[in-house]
Amino acid sequence: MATLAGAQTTPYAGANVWRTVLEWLTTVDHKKIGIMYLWAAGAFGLVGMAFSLVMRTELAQAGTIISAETYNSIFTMHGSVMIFLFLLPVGAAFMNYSMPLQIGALDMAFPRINALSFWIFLFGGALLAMSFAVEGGTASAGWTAYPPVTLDTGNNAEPPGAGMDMWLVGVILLGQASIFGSVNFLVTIFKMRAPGMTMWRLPLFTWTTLVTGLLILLSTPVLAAALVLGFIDRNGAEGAFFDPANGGQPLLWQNLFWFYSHPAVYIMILPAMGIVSDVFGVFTRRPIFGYRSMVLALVGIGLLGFIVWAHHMFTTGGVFLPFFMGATFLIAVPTGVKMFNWIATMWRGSNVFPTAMLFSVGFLMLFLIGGITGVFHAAVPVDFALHDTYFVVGHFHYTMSIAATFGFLAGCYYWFPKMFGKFMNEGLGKLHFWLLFIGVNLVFFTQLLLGLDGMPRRINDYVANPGWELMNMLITIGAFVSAAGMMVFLYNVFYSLKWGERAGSDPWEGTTLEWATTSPPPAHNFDSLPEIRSERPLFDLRFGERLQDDPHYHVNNGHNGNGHGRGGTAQPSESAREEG
Amino acid sequence: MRAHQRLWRTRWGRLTLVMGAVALALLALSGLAQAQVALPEAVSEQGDSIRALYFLVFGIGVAVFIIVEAMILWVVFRYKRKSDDELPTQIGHNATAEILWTGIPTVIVIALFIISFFVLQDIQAAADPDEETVVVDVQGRQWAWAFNYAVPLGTDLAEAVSENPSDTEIMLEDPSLVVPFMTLKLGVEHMRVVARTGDVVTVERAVNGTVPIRHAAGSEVMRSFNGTDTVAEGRLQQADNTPIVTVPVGPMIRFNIASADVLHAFYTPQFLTKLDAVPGRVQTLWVRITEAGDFASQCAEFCGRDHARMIYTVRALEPADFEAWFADKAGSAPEPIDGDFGGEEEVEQEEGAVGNATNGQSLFFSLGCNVCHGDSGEGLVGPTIAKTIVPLDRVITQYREPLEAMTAFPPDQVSDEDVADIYAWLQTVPRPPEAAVIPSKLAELIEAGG
Ligand code: HEM
Ligand SMILES: [Cu+2]
Ligand SMILES: [Cu+2]
Repeated sequence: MATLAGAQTTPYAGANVWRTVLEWLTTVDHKKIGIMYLWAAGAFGLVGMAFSLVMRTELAQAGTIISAETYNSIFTMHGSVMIFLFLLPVGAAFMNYSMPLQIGALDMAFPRINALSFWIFLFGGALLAMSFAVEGGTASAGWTAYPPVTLDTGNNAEPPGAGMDMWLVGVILLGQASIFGSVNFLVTIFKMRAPGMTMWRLPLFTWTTLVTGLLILLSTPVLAAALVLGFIDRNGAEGAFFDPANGGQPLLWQNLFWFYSHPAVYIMILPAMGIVSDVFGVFTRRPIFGYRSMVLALVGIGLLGFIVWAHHMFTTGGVFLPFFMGATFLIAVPTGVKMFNWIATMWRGSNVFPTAMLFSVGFLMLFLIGGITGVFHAAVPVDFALHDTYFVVGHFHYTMSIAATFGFLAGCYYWFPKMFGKFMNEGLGKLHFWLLFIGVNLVFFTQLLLGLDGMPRRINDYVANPGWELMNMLITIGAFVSAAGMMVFLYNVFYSLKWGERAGSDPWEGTTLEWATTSPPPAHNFDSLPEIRSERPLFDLRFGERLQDDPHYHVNNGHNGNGHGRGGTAQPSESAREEG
Repeated sequence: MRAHQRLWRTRWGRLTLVMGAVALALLALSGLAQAQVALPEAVSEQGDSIRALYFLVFGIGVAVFIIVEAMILWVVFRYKRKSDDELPTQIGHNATAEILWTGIPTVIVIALFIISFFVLQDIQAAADPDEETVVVDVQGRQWAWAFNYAVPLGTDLAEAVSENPSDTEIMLEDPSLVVPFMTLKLGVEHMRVVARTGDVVTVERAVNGTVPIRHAAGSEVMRSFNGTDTVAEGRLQQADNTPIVTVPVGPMIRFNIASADVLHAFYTPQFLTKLDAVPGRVQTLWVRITEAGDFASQCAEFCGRDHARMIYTVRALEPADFEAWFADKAGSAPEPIDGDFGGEEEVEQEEGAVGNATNGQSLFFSLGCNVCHGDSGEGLVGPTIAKTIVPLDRVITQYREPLEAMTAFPPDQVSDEDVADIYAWLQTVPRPPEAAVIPSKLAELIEAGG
C-alpha cells in the first residue's frame, strides 16, 4: 500500500507569485491545463448564468424592459457561452485532469498540443466576448445561427454586423481547440495506458472520454465546414451557400450544423455520465453494474448519434421523416440501459451520500425527465406541436444543460480534494445541491408546461394571458433560486481552497488510479502504481483479500476466458508505454 | 413501516424523503393542472390525431417516470452503509435483468414508432383529388404575414413558361384580362404583372419568395389577391395590428407556406402543428378545421429583431360566412384596359413628369404608403413601386378604385396632383434588386473566377 501514502509537496507552490504565474502560463502539465480549463469554463459559466438572469428578468412579466435587439443578443450569447465556453470546456477540463491519472499515464500524449488547445479555446472565447464591443453588437441569431437571418444579403431587414463574423471565427477556433483536445485524448488512451490497464479495465470516465473524443473528431470538422461557408457567405459570396435569393440553400446549414450539434449534445453529456458512473462505483462499494453493457451503450449512443441529426429539422419540410424518427426513438434504448445500470449499481449497495453522490443522484432524476421528454420529440407528429416551443427548451436543459451540469458539479466535489488537497465543505455542498435542485426543477418543469401551452422560444415578449404570466414568473423565481445555489457553490470553492479540511491521497476510498497518488499529484503523476487487474485497482487492493471467496467478486470483470474467481496476474497491455 | 422510521432518523434518509416529496409534488402538480400537461384542445382533424398520439406518449412517459423514479428513490432510500467495514454484494451483472431492460424499452419504442408513423401518414395526407379544397398562400416576411387567395382568371397559358427566372414574358390565351399590379398565380408560383405589349405579358417572377417553376402550356392561370384582414386588438406591445387569415370550417385547407426573406414558421397552437416558411421553397400544410373561432398564432422560427411580434390570428368561419367573405374579398375581375401598358417607352415619357418629388415624399409617409410598400417603395405586403413603370393615369385609378387590398384614397383626400407628386418621388428612389437571382451568385462567382 506504499502507493497510497507518501505526501508530496504541492507542485505549484512557487517561490514567488510571478514565477507561479509564469509557470501556469507556460505549463504543459495536463493537470494544470485541466485546472485552467476548469477556472476558465467556470467563469464563462457564471457569465452565461448572468445572461440567463437578464432573460428571466425580461420575461418575468409580459411587456418589455430591454430592447428586442438586446434580448436577442443576450439569448444568443447565453446559449453560445453555455455550450461552447462552459459545457464543452468543462468536459475537457475533467478529461484533461483525470483521464491520464485514471489510466496511470505520466501526461497526455502531446502535452504541447494540449496547452495549445487551451490557449486557442481562450482566444476563441475572448473573440466572442469582444463582440459585445463592436458596432451592431454580438451575434443575435441564436446559438444555432440559422441563415439567412445571419447574412447581410438578400432581403434580411436587420443584417447583423461584425459580431456575427466574430462569432463564426470564434466558434471555428473553439472547434479547433476541441479537435486538438480529442486527438490528444484518443492517442493518450490508446497509447499511454499503464501496464495491466487493458481496454476492458478502463474506468468508465475514461471510456466516456474515448467515445467523446471520437465524436468530437468525427463531427467537429463538419461544423467547421459550415462555419467557414457561413463566413464566406457573409464576406464575398453574398449568400451563395445559404441564401436562396442568391441560389443558396438555408437547409444545408441546418444539416451541417446538426450533423455536429447532435453529436455535440453527447459530447457534453457523456463526460458527465462518466463522472457519475465513477462516483456511483466509489460511494456504493459496488462494481458498476453491467460494466460492459455500459461501454456498449456508450458506443451505441455514439453511433446512433450520427444518424439522428435531422430530428432537429422535423418541421422544415426538408427531411425524410420516418428514418430520423426511427433512429431517434432507438437512441432511447441505450440511454435507458445506462439509467438502469446506474440504479442497479446502487441496488444493495453500501451507499453513502456526500455531496458528489447527491449530485449524481440528482443527475439521474433530471436526466430521466430529459430522456422521457426526448421521446415526446421523437414522435414526429407530437414534435410538430412542440418544436420551437418552451417544451424543447425544457427538454434540452433537463438533459444536456442541467443534468450535465449536475454531473460536472459531482465531478467538482469528487475531484476537488485530488486537485487541491482539500475537501469542499459538505454543509455548503448540501445547501448548494438543494437550492439548485429545487431551482432548476421549478425552471425547467414549468418550461415544459409552458411549451405544451404553445409559448414559442426565443421571444422577448409574449401575449399577457394569465397562465403564461404565472408560469413565466415561476420560472424567473426558479432561476434566481438556482443562481443563489450557484453563489453558495462559488463561496464554497473559495472557502474550501482557504479553509477546507485537508484531504489525503485517497479521501473517498476511491477505486481508480487517480487515488493512488498524492493530492495534488506530483508533476510526473505517480511514484509507483498498484497492480491493475480490473477496472477498480484500488478497490481490489483494499478489499480484494476480504472478498477472495465471494463468487461474485471478479477481477478483470470475470469476462476474460476463465470467468469467475480472481484473475491471473496483470498482463501488461500491448500498447501501454513503458513507465519512465 | 419500521424501515421508514429508521430512515427518517438519519439525515440522509430525511433528505431522500424530501427528494421523493419534491418529485411527487411535481407529479401532483401535473395531475392537478390537467389542462396544462396536455397540448391545447385541437380545432382541427389533424390536431385531434396528434393530441391522441400525445396522450399515448404522455401515458407511457408518466408510467416510465413513476417506475424509474420509484426505483431511484428505493435504492437511495433503502440501501445505506451501516458500518464502516460493510461490504455489499459484488454482483456486477445479471443477464435476465439486462435483457429485460434492453428488450422492453426496445419493444416500446418500436411500437411507438409504428403508431407515430401511421399518425404521420394520416396528418400529412393530402385532400382527396375530387374534394373541394381552399388554398391559402401564406407568406412570411420580416415581420408580417400576408395571406393570399386566388380565383380563376378565366384564361390559360398559351405557351409554356420555363423555370428560368429571367423568362419573364408569358403568353396568355386572352391577355386582355390582365391589368397592372395584378398578381397571377400559376401552380404555387406568383407572378406580378408589370407590362403588356400586344400579346406579351411581362411579369416579375418570384414575388412570393418562391422558386420559379416550369409551367406547361394550357395551365390554368389564377388571379391572386391579398385576403389579409387585420384587427387592432393590440394583443402585444408594438404589434397592434394583428393580421388575420380567414378560413372555413369543414373543407380541407391547403396552406402553401413561403417566405420572402428569412426563415419563419407558421404555427397555430390549436392546430397542434407547425411548418417552417423556408425561403426558396413552397411547403404544404393540410388542415381540416372542426370548430369556428379565432385562434391566436405566431411565428415559431427565430427571424430577427421582431420575431416575437410576428403574431397572427386564424379566423375559422362557418362555410356560408366564409363564402360571403371570400366573394367580397375577391371582388369582380378588374375592368380591362385597352392597348399596351408599362414598357420602357412609357417610362421615358413619364420621367420628369409634372410633380414635386419633395412634396411626394412627405405625402408618401403621411398617408402611410410606406407601411405596405416599404420606406423606399421597395415593397412589403404591397408590391414594389419604386421606379414604377405603370403609367400615371393607371396609378391614379389605383388610388380611387384599388385593386387588391389597398386602401382607397378619394380625390378629396389625395388630389390627382398629389398622386403626381408621389409618382415623381417614386421615380427618384432606387429600384431594389430582383428578389430571386438564380442562377446562383455562386455560379456567377465561379464564372468570374474563370
Ligand atoms: C431519449 C433520448 C433523447 C431523444 C429521443 C431526444 C430527442 C430529441 C428531439 C427529437 C429533439 C428535437 C426537438 C425539436 O427541436 O423539436 C431534441 C432536441 C434537443 N435535444 Fe434531445 N433527445 C434525447 C436526449 C437528449 C440528450 C441526452 C441530450 C443532451 C445531452 C439532448 C439534447 C438536445 C438538445 C440540445 C436539443 C435542442 C437544441 C436546440 O434546438 O437548440 N437530447 N431531442
Ligand atoms: Cu438531437
Ligand atoms: Cu419569427
